[in-house]
Amino acid sequence: MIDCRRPETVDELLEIIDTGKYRIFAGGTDLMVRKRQWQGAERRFEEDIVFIEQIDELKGITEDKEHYHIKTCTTHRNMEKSLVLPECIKLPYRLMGNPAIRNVATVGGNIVNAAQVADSLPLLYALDGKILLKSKNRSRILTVEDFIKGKYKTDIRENEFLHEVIIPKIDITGFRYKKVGSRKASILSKFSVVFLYGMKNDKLDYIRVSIGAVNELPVRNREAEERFVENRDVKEFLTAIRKEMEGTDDKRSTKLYREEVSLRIVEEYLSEILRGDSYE
Amino acid sequence: MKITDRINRVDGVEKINGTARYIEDIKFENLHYGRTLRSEISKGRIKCIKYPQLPENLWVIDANDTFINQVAMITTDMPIFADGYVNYKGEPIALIAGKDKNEIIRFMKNIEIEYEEEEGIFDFGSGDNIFSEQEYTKGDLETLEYDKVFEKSYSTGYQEQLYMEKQGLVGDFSDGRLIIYGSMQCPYYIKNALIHSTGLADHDIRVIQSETGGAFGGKEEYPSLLACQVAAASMKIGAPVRLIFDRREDIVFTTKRHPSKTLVKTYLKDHRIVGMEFDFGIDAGPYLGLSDVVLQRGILSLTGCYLIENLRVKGTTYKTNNIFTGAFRGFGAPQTLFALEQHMNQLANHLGYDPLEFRRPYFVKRGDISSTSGIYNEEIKLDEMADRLAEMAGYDKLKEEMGSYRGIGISFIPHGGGFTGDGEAEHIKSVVKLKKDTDKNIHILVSSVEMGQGAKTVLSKIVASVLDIEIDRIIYENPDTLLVPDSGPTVASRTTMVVGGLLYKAALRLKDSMESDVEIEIVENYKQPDYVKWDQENLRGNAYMSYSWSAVLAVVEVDPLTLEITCKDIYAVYDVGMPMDEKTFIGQVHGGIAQGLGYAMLEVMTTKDGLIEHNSFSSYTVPTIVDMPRMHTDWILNPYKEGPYGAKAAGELTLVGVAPAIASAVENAMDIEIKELPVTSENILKELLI
Repeated sequence: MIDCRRPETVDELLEIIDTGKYRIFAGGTDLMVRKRQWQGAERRFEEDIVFIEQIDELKGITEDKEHYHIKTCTTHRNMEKSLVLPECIKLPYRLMGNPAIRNVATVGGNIVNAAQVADSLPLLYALDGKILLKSKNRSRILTVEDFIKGKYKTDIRENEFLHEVIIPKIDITGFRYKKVGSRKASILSKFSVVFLYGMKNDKLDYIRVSIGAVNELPVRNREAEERFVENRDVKEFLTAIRKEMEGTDDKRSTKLYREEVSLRIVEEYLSEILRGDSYE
Repeated sequence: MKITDRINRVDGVEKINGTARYIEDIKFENLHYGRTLRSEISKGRIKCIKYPQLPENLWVIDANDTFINQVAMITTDMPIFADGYVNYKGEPIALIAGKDKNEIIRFMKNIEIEYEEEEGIFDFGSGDNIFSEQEYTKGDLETLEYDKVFEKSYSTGYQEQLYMEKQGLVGDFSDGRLIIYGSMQCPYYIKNALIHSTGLADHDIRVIQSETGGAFGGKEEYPSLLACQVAAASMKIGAPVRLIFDRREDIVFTTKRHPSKTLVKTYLKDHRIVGMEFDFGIDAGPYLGLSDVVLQRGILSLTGCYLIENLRVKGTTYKTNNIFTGAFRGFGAPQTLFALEQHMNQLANHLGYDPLEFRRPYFVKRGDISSTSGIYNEEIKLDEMADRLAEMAGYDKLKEEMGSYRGIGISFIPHGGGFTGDGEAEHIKSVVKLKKDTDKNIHILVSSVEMGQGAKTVLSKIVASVLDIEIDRIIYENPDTLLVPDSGPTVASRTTMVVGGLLYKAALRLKDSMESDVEIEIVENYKQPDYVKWDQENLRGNAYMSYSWSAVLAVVEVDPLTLEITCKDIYAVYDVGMPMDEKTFIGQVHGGIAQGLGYAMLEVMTTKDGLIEHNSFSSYTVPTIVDMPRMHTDWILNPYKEGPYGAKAAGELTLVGVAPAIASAVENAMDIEIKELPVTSENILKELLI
């Protein structure tokens, strides 16, 4: 028999996971499916489980002068409906899964799960998002990029849990988001593109481009972004991004389609800025 | 009541309020659960199976526990359990049964199977590995005079029925008698398979349908396999055994629509079609099952709505080690008619004609000779349907509005009602009973099942209308072979037209005795209409006793950047004789459009080493409501004199024309040739980059 725990506070949770033998269960939208064996039979959990969805301290979105803080058990639905967050953060959450999933799935879960198709990852890469990891005796803050090590792989340690996501506030002049899947709703991404830019004194200050689900990890190239701000060379930028793409054909799409079409979208967005189109 | 009354479904309330009992809801004493032990390889000999020590309360049921290890469908080539040799990945080897699911899982984890693996065949269409062939000709291609040949190849992929309720049956053997309960389309197919496999006498086998949550052909022949398995298990254990698939198991291991390849050759003289040649091949998987019958329906209507004087048609089923393919709404026609309609569109383009006007001169009429050299016996109103479609859609204006990335496509489709040729008279021999009890309630006694398509509503309405009584005086229970005669399987769009037709006649005979106080039972037997002449050996004569028709127009938009396809509108006009119930018919139309749209552009399903890759709701993408187009539909009235109140077939027709219309709309939008279903953004990109 496996042990199941249901702490009410973060302190209790930290005590429990300090033993290093508990698996953390938040919304469970992925775990419950992955651990299925046969309808009506037990699920295949081999480790002890600690539920965290009931811990009120782990829910909610707040902001300070420089950051948004999103607690780990905040649901996608909470993100969608937030009065605090800007539209560019809310939109990708609004397009994930379906209403039933979004009501249960958590912000932390999508990151820790580290699926190739996790739609929050390209967003957090583009925003230089960070996470706060906590264990009984210490806390550490990592960028999401450093935390995600590969498909379903992260840097989390046995006695840690993801406490919150920290998103730095930046001046965003405009953003674009495109998610492409094989149908119009309730679908995993073939790929997604997050695009942000900022203007300062009528001059392009920065761009950020992050592409999800093409590679195992989101693609973002800061150097190429900086170069683009200097030289406005769309072709050069696309070439730099294309070099980093190393996808494969799979049951959702093809390497050719993902790479070609995601770059077309980036090209379109970059050209829009150069044409001086504005979109808030 | 009158047949034209608008009513609600007779089974609607119980299905919405949850009182309807599906097989999973029904309680049985001492119930044992069965789980299938499946092959992990696609082809090879089983050297040995090492089972762990068998606990007292678990059972292994395999080929040794069958009386005859064959599933009788039309052929008997499929074993109930693989016996020493497997032919596809996932083939059932044994059933592990017990009362505790967790114990079964633990036991199964420790089963080891050693195989001597052989190389499987996963591609089809080449010369070898032929299961069956069919061929027919009309006119004379040999001496044909022509000045040009237009030749194209087309292919289609798998499609999954994706009924809401998964496959599920219970077998209950006690006191020498076997009862099978469950989700099914054809109680008597199951009964006949059990007579063959169990060695029990006819009168000791009983099959009872429980509420069936969708089927689409997926519960035509496949449940016969499961019934033979639970029968063997229940007979061994002496307790009821339930086998209900999990969703992934159901998607991956049950029958699919056949992948197909079609070569179409058109002989032209002075821009006119003078002859056509078709070579159609399908992947049957490792067992023939119904595949040769699917092949026949595919090829027999290959000239669609058109009169083609000279014709050669060849069809082949290929044996592979892919998943077993079988019945699915449309039954071969979605594949061949995609090829034909796509070809007609490409031909019109090639010759510089409007695709609608190009078709008209070839439209078949009453008295014309069909592809199989039978005579079209009924009034055919394709021109009227084409006019109505053009008027509804504002065809001329719409054509002008189409520019780059927006396109329109059309299709014209026939669908024959009932079994092919003389199948209804030779093989099915339907019998229906109508019983008036002493309370003057009327019992419909047929083996046709309600599976969501509306059979109970429509058949009850026909009887109530003839008798001019309220519909709530009609009693139509789920069929139980002990109580109902064999009125045939619930397939082939035959229920309303054939079974409904028999009930109509029975009700007419009963009508004069309605005032009587005694119980009266009327039996009605199928009689083939006089005009039907069929030579099965040479596939010659009236392939179907009547045809229903559809005319469909699709409007699509393609995103210039992502090449995502949006079907904006579907316009459709149908000739189903007389719709028996407006709401039920519209339900069929909307469902057919949804399933056809999925087939056209969403439902990608491929295999890797013989195993289906798209195995869940998240990867096998049927349309959501957001993917659905605006649907503008209408029908013409064209009563069929043998059908009840003039009704013809309706169920399958509504699916078949959707995919070719959408595919040619994408062609129109993108100025590329579409030769493959489903049409995906990936394929459009590939085509554009060539």
